[in-house]
Amino acid sequence: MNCFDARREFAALWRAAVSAERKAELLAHLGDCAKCDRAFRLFALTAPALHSEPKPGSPKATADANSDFPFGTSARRLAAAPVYFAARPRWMAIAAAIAIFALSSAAVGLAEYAPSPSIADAISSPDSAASAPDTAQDPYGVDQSPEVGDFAS
Amino acid sequence: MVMLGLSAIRGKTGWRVTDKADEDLIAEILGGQTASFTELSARHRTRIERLCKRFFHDDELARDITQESFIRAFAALPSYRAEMPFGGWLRTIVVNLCYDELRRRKRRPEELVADFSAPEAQWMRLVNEASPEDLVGEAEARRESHDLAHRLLDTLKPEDRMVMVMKESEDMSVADIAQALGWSEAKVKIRAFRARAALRKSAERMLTAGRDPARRQ
Repeated sequence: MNCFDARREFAALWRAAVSAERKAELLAHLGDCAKCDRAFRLFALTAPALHSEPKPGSPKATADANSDFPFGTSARRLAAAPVYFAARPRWMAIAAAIAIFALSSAAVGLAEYAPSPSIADAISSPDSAASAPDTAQDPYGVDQSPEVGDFAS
Repeated sequence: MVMLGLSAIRGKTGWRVTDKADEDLIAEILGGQTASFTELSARHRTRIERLCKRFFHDDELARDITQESFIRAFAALPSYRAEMPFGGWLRTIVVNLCYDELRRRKRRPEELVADFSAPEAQWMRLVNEASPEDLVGEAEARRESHDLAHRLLDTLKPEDRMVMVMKESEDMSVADIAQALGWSEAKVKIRAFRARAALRKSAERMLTAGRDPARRQ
């Protein structure tokens, strides 16, 4: 028996589900191989929870549980119990979270880049075309009145 | 009203048991005979409670989740499709409830794997020194072996613990686990790998602490 086969049979050994011959082989290997012996001791630490039969509860608690099974004191909860989806679509929650994040980001972005009220008013007012700078001649709309821009005078 | 129906069929000798198939009982329940749910639940109760005890060392909590599972199953019965065995469908509900409960509970800090009571310390000495054959017998006889094993499992993340229990205890295939939890098979495999590694690390620490009390943290 090699180490791989031995370790695969730890659970069967714990559950007493191996033949006497196989068990003898396995125990002999554990006696010879220090690594597998160590691995079995690590396995033994978790095996009671994973491979042994669960320990029964106290008799009183079991009797109480039997007296009201399956609904018992929880009968009122039955009326309010939501319909349970056996395989819950977790992707829906993720998609909803992404959608909320995208919407909130868009809202923040719009608020940040929205035109200020004065500019918006100027654009929407009827005489905005008249007051707007002549971009055909001066694309930057710089005020070139003689009082400001003519230093030579 | 459901309670009255359930109580009416309880005899002095216990639950009424018939040889009807699960699907027949479900058809009766959906047809209005809600009392048939008592028999249906009685058939599956032991297995479901045993599964819950794999996840939770607390018997009362395991029973609560078992009961809650049947309530959920009753409410969702109209959505049950016969392509899947009722037992498998019910198990899906149970593992999801257990998963929710594990996520609600806080993980136990790893330091607790080195904090032993006297009987636990005695069990740890046995794990370090007894022969493998003796260990198997002693573990069954000692409550503390179960306590410590559950304490080790408590150090795992809920996802890892789910996979460990379903794979190791219930012998479920990767595909079945993936279907029950709504995960991909790749995620189940990764979780199983990580769970084993984490458990091995915690068990190493516990074993070392049991052998050498001076190294306990």
